[in-house]
Amino acid sequence: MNSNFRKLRFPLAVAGLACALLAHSGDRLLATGGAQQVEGAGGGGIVPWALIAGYGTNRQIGGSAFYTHVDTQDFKLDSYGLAVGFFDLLEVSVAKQEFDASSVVPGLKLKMDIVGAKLKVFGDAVYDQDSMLPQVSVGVQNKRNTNMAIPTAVGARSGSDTDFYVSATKLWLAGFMGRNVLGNLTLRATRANQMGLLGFGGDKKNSRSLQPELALAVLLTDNLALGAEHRWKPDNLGAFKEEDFSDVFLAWFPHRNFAVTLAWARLGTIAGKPKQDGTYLSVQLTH
Amino acid sequence: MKPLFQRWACVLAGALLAACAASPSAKPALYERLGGEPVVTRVVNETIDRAATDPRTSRSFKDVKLARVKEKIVEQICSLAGGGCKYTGDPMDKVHKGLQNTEAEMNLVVQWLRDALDRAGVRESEKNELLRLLAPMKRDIVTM
Repeated sequence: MNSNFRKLRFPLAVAGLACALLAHSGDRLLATGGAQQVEGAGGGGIVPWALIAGYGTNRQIGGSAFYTHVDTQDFKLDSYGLAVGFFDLLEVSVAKQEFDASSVVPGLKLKMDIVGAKLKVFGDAVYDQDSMLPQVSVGVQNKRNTNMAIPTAVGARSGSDTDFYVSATKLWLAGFMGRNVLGNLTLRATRANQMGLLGFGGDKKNSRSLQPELALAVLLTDNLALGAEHRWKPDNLGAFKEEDFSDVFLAWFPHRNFAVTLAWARLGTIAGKPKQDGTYLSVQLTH
Repeated sequence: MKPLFQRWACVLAGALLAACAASPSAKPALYERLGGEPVVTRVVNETIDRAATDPRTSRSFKDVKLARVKEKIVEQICSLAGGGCKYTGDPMDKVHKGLQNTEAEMNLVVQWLRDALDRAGVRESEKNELLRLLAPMKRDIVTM
């Protein structure tokens, strides 16, 4: 692949997906596309769900765009991107992450591009209320650090890699005290260090490991969800201990096409800085 | 990692206990809690009137006796929600055969049903219970 194309492929993908989005507006039920997680896939805040992003039905194209800001004691993470759902079957997403690590090295910003795809395999999380079967999807996230030198310097074996995951999502109408409940279990095969911002693989472990990711949310009303997520992570780098991510979130859909998610995130030790807790704010346009 | 998982487990166990404690043994049937025939009739009338007039869904209601459709839907909800009625209409797959209803059309009608339930003052929990009973009908209604 020549370097010009490599440089251009991300903006090209964004432009292509934006065009696909303008083509049609979706008619799925309010909030059933979820939010976009921090790596760009349709889901919660940190966990991809089996739902296909946007409001597109089996005959429509839908999608969403998001911007997320996470702020902890020592770090800031900005993430933004676009996801397009084709026929409630295939989701394609692009996202950019910018991780401000000035507290470790003054002026240091780590940037990563993520291209994702998710395919619904079976099930209907919303309508299959007479069945225990969840909606199940499989997905990939290809991640590429724009500066490969930094991941390598911290002991990672590579600056780019691909995560594979399978997600099962189920909505239980009137599941808890009359409120609708959403449950999600994702299993991710990954060798990413801090989602990939510190590269992939390390001296402790260089191969992929299987990590579970959970989400549980209660819909207080049709447009307000209160939930929590927990994401187990590998711990590949001897120099930089890595811990699980978790969050408690409130997602509000004041309008069909607009959502705000506010979360309290516990991100553990990152790049040698322990107990990184902070706020997570995400805004999303859904189509 | 362990303590957090334990905390989750505690929250979940606590929630389940609360749910068990909160459900009284002699809860009235859903139909009664919805408000019985007056409320259900009002909700069904509003929903079907909207569906029959909105250009996005009206095609499926052409040449249909709306009064009968409404009556049969009320009867079916009464039957499903423990109101003691017997549904005397045709099976849902037969009723919708050949209409080629899309998911988009179905979702619109569901949204109007939710709106009508909200307007009628039906509580969140009763609304969700009713939707849970009706949701599997999508398989018989949507064929496209």
